[in-house]
Amino acid sequence: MTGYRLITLAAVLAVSSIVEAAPPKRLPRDLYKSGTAIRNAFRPVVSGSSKATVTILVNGHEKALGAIVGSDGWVLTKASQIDAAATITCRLKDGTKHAAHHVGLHPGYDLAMLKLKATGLPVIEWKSDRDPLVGDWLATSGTGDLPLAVGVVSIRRRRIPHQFGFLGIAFDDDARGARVTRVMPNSGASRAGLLQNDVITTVAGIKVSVGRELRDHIRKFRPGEILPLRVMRKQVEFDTFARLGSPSQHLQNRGIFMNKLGGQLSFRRGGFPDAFAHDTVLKPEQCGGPLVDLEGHAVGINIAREGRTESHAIPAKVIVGLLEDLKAGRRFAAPVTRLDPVDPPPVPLAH
Amino acid sequence: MRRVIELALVAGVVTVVQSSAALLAADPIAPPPPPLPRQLPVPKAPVVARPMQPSELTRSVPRGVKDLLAIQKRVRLLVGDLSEATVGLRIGNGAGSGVIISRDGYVLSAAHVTAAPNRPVTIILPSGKILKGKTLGLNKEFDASLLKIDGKGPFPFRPLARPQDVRTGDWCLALGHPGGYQRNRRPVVRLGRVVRAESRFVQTDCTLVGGDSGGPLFDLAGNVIGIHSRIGAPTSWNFHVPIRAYTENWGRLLAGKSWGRPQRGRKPVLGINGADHDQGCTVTSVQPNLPAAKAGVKTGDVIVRIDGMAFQGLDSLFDHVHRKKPGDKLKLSIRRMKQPVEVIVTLAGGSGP
Repeated sequence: MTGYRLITLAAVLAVSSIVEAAPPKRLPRDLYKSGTAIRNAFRPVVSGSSKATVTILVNGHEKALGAIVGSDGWVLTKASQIDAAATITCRLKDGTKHAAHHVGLHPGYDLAMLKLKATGLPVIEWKSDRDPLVGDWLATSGTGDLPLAVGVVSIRRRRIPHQFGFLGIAFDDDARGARVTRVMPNSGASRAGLLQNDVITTVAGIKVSVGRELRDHIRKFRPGEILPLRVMRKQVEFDTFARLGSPSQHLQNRGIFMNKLGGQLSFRRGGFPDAFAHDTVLKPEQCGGPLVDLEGHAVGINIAREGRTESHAIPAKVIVGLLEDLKAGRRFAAPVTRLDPVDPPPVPLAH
Repeated sequence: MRRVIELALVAGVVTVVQSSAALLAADPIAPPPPPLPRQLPVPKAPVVARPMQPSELTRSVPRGVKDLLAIQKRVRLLVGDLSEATVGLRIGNGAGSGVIISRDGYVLSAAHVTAAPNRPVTIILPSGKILKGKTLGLNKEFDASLLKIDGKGPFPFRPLARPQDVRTGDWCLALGHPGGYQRNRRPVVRLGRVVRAESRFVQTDCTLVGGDSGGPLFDLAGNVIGIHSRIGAPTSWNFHVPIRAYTENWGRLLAGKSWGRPQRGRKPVLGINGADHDQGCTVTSVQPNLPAAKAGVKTGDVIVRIDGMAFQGLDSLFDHVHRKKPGDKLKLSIRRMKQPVEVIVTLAGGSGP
């Protein structure tokens, strides 16, 4: 037995010395920055946070992660991944599932507070006294023993520019408003039933007299928002609603093409008043959960996959300041770019 | 009549920033290199040997949090200086990145950013300070180029690493200006590892995008080990110009010579974009009229086997495709809505997406 062990050890030494002399031509996948061997080194880092992370299922589909922010069943997550009218379930690390309902909302930060019927849950520990430095390691906790992915801080906190909504039409000026010359397939405009030669006269309560006004007004809204439209078709005026899409769903240019290389982007990924960026490669459904430093403390909540090079996180300091209001059921006002608030479908508030 | 089109205006905003700085998606597996013209550079590029690194920074697998902390400590020490030497470039209608590599203001960038010698350049320091300069030589075969900032400096700079010091598995930092320089945003930092260090390119898993082109890749000694050049669909397909493309041609680059042609052979093309998956890869989009679309591959499919072999990750699939030739057939085993589907794809030829 001892002999066998010695031989094994010798063989390992021989192999490793060869490796030192001539490194492999190609790095094995598990040694990539977010490969399993590297994530394994982060095991102790996420041992606490993974217990305070939940997977959020919307109508049975995994749509986001969430962070447990109160032991009596409070979960913070990414609001736009959750259809508030749907059946929301949270799955904990121990595999138990809990029905959840939507309580508070901050549209600017895209944060939603959920409530489950549970007590004695492990809670996320925040590090809110100072931001992580550019270049610091960050681990994205899932509910497993290893982080889902790791990365470093890329850009310190700043305001993330407004991401404008996209109706999906081409238009010309008309005496009465903006005349639709083309409706893009699968766009908000096509689902709202708009047709070529319709004339849009009013958008979210504002009368538009030329096409440029229509465009500028629509751009104040974000993807996902629902706008009431007043439309003239062959002398008949009627009202409809259109849910705005994002330009990158419908347009193709080099920038959009390249940013989508390597995976899908979050539907809502801009217009955050304060966020820092990191280089962790995430899937949209891996957002909403805690992002921890090497001490295992949460420095933020992953809020969006923004492009090939960047994911955004809302800093812990911002989150800690919002928790009590969100638990109290507050629905914050939308950011100032919006002129005329249009509420999403009603949200069940009671148990 | 004034015609206002949402589409055109939206597209315009993005192209102004990135028109000529967009990255290529070229084949990294190039044919064997033709012999380089043997020319001893009379003026020498500012190259320094890498000092001995502590083992925490060089182990192939970090031994727990202690090694991760050592890496973080080194990165914290470097980030400020590396950022100071990383610049934004505006040349004509295009934008890209660059790195100052000498006190007197020589700047490395990519040939597809500078495009030609003797062009006026705007150089933007991380502080927002704007400097003027001029493009010098280009090695188009390698996508390497040199610029000079007007005046003598002193400018903040980082030296070049020796080409032989760059090894597979090295930890590295990519800095640059994805999407083009933005006010109030310092150079964007990414950490990764050298996936391959070849004589013709360096590949890393530091994700890059349009606007990064010409920006620096640094080792953890803070020396420049590559210049951002092009990407492919997998997030580990980020390619950088190797340092030897500059050092072996320093005299010609200084003299403002332009030579060589980008390596653009016919590459096998599948026509999908995707993301990594535990059991293969997920198809996130299918490009119309290309082989995958013609064979009936759909967005949302999970490709689980290729030619009967299990694989992991989009890069493994792309590596397999690139070992084939245009016209070759490929069998993809797919899981679609939990149902198994098999398709045969005939690869097309092209020079990238």
